Amino acid sequence: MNLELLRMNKYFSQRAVLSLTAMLIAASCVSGFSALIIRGGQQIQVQGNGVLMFNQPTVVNELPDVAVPSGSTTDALLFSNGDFLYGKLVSIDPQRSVRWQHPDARQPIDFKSTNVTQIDLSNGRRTLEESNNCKIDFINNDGIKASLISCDKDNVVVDTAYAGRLKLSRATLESLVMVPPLQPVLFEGPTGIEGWTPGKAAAAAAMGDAGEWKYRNGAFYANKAASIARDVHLPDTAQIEFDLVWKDVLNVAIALYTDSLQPVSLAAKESAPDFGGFYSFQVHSSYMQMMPIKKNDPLRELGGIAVPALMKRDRAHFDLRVSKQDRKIALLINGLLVKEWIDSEGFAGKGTMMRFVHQGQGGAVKISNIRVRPWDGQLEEASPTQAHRVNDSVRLADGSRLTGTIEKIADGKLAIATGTSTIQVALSKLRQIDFASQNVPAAQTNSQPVRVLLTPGYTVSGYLESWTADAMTLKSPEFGEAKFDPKAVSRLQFAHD
Amino acid sequence: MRGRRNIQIPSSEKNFKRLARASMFILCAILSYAAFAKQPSAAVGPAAGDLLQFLDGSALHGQITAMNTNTGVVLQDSDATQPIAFQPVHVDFVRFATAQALPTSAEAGNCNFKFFNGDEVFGVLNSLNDQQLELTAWFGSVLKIPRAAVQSITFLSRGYRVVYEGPTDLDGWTVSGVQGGPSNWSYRDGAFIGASGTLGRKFDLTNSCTVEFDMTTKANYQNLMLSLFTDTVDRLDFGNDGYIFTFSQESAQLRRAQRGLAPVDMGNAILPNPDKKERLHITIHVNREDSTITLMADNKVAKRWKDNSGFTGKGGGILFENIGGSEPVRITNMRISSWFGRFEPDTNPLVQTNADSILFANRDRAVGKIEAFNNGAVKLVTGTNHLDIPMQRVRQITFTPGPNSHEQRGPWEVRAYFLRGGMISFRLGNWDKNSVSGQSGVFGPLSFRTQTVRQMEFNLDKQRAKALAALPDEFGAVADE
Repeated sequence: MNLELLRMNKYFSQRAVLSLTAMLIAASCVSGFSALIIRGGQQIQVQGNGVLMFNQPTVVNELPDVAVPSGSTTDALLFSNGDFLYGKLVSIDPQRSVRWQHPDARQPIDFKSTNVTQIDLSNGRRTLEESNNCKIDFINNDGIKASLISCDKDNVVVDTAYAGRLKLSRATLESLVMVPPLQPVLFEGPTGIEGWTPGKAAAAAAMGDAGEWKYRNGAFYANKAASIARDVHLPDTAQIEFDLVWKDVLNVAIALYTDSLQPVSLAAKESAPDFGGFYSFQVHSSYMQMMPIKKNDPLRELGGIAVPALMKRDRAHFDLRVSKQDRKIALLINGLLVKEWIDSEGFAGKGTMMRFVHQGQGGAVKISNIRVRPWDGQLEEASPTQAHRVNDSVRLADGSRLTGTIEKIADGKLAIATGTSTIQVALSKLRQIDFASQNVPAAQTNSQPVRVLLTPGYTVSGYLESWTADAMTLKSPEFGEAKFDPKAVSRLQFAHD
Repeated sequence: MRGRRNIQIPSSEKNFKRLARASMFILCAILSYAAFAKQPSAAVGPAAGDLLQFLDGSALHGQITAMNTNTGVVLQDSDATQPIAFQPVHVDFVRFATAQALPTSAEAGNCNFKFFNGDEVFGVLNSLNDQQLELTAWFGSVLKIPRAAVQSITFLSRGYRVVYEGPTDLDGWTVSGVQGGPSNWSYRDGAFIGASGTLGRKFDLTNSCTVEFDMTTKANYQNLMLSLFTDTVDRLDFGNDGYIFTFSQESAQLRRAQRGLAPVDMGNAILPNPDKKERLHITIHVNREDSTITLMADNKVAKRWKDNSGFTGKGGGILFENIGGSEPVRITNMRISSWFGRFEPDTNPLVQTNADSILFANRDRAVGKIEAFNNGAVKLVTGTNHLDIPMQRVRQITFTPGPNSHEQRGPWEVRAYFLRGGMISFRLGNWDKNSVSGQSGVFGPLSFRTQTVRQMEFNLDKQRAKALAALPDEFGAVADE
């Protein structure tokens, strides 16, 4: 692709910006697009096909799939020709027949799974599994959380709440990250409107056509400008999670570490009642921004992220990790670390409250599964690419790294052979394992290949042997044959030749 | 002063940032529009066969094999191991893949009949008196209707014909990108769906005509352009001699395009859409002789323009362009008909008055009380005058509405939409591959050929899912407030 890069000072005249922007938008409308190339610095980058990028943005074109509970009370069956049907999944048998109950059909309907592409299941809210002590990523991009039991030269054994004990083939594993014991949840909700403070109508009206957040079934909904806030007692290092579901255009702002339960109009913040500093996390359909907001200080932006991947979706799981001491806010979307903001001018937040603001001029928004807990300040490291994983690699909590072959994990210790010696490491000191790449034997089965999204946000793939009300039987090179709790499954994605 | 912290951002820079953010947003939207479909939509393959759609937006393709109160609506879906029998309580409509119109006579006597219950029939007037109307519908049935149920009778001109009815596929249509950009017009299930680019086709629209279609869009801004009488069907060309509409949910703008001249803005019209419905039935009546263009939305007149410079349309094609960027627009139930005639199009049939009226061939109109039909003449009382008007002088008769009654309708009360136009509502008795039978409060016992019906709508009083809704929508009423 030809790349024409114009470097310009950020502070050039408005006239130039207007004409350039108009020109570029016009150009962008008439040109094809290809990959974006981002380079650093406070620059505007103009690509030959008209793409503009500002302020060192990160571009996130792909996001992992996670299961954001829909709150729907019916299952949905999707076919490859676009047909879909609501109802209830009754069973899937080994002959690939999907039995479906539709409320208007007298008898259950048996569909051949040949053209079934997806089944969405109306399982409930995200469930917590406090006992999990590790996060495991597979080489095929699957991932689960589980409790590590043991390991030998062939298998890693884990316990799960949704499939019991699983014996994972080491050949299918990419990494295993020890998860510190979860800190007690400081806030989890919403469970009702009580304890939350709606924005005053006048303040909301200033943002546009005023509406209000409404509570229903564990979620807040708004489709017009509205604010709702609560003191969730944000700690100095915090993990803040929530699910967002939107319809049409997404246009919300989330105030972090605020001391005000009322919304602050950024355009008129100097005339607003006194408020302490906070961070405004602004979320749009494909663009996000983090802004420290202080009274009597000019507006600043810590940098934006372009997330075109969100345009393909209507829901996502947001996970913010905040360290006051490090002046750092990290953003994970669907489990993927997409941005780390460092506030070079000190941590702006002065309060412990959060405020959710529908900014108006957007579509309907649903916020659910808000969860706040202390954070240990650690973000997992990216694993080496498969080609570079000749040996097992063990990262310890103190940052040191051991390379060799893991012989076993048992009795709270990991044994790794490094050259001529074997080193024993207490699991309490283990931070992460990156497994050596191996050849993966193909599964022997005639069953349907399927990707399973589990309600806690994990993914496993395999061959669907059967589905009943009691168990989903899945055969996979990752774990052999296992029975999963159907209630933990939120989606089945079928692969077809 | 502490360095950067105290630098006041000039307003031009704030504007720049705002602009930058807006630009970024727009560009990202542009970048991603090709994949606007929401998760969890999977790649969608072709769909064939009859379409059974439910009120919640879900849908299955297959072959309808039976419909009656005993078996329900029976669908043979190729993915199902057995025919599926659905009760009709949540059925929205059935669209038939293989409807076929019967040949119609081009001779005089073809009429458009409208009824106070909303039904509409095209056919030949057999007889009319003060008690009863008898007609032979284009779908083949002879209907006898109480005169009190008749709202209007419009005598179609001798050259009346339906130029186009569909869509049924993209054949004959030209799909193009704008200035080398992508075009995303596609056909699916009786609808053109466009996210960008143009969709055009040459017809023979050299004279008065009516263009009508359902326009479905979520956009509350202008996102659909329609060029009429264009001879360029691969791009929107303001250099063509014709007329160009620009639509949003709430308004329409008409421009006159003329070769070698700048387009002339003929003004805006507010569409009668107080509920901001996503789907509007757009009707455009073009009267070449009068140089008038009448725009209707959901059968209500929005505006009538008169081109005082004279009728400018010279090409025979039409062209749609989605200019809204990421928001798709759907075009369904399109019908283009040509009169080649002289009479005034029926632009305002739903304005109810307390008097009958007759529109003459010379466009005069007489208002009064129609008292009788005798010997091929209409007896009209206007004040103290009694007029006997020969039927051949009459172009349209509009009757005073009777008492308004509306009964709640059950799921088997259906409305059949016919090829070549017209629709009737009735209680469905039986549908099989040969014939449809039922009972109508207006038409009495009904029977007609199955193949003449292109769509059958159920649950006429129930709320439909949003036309553009696709998969599970958890917002429900909240989003609709």
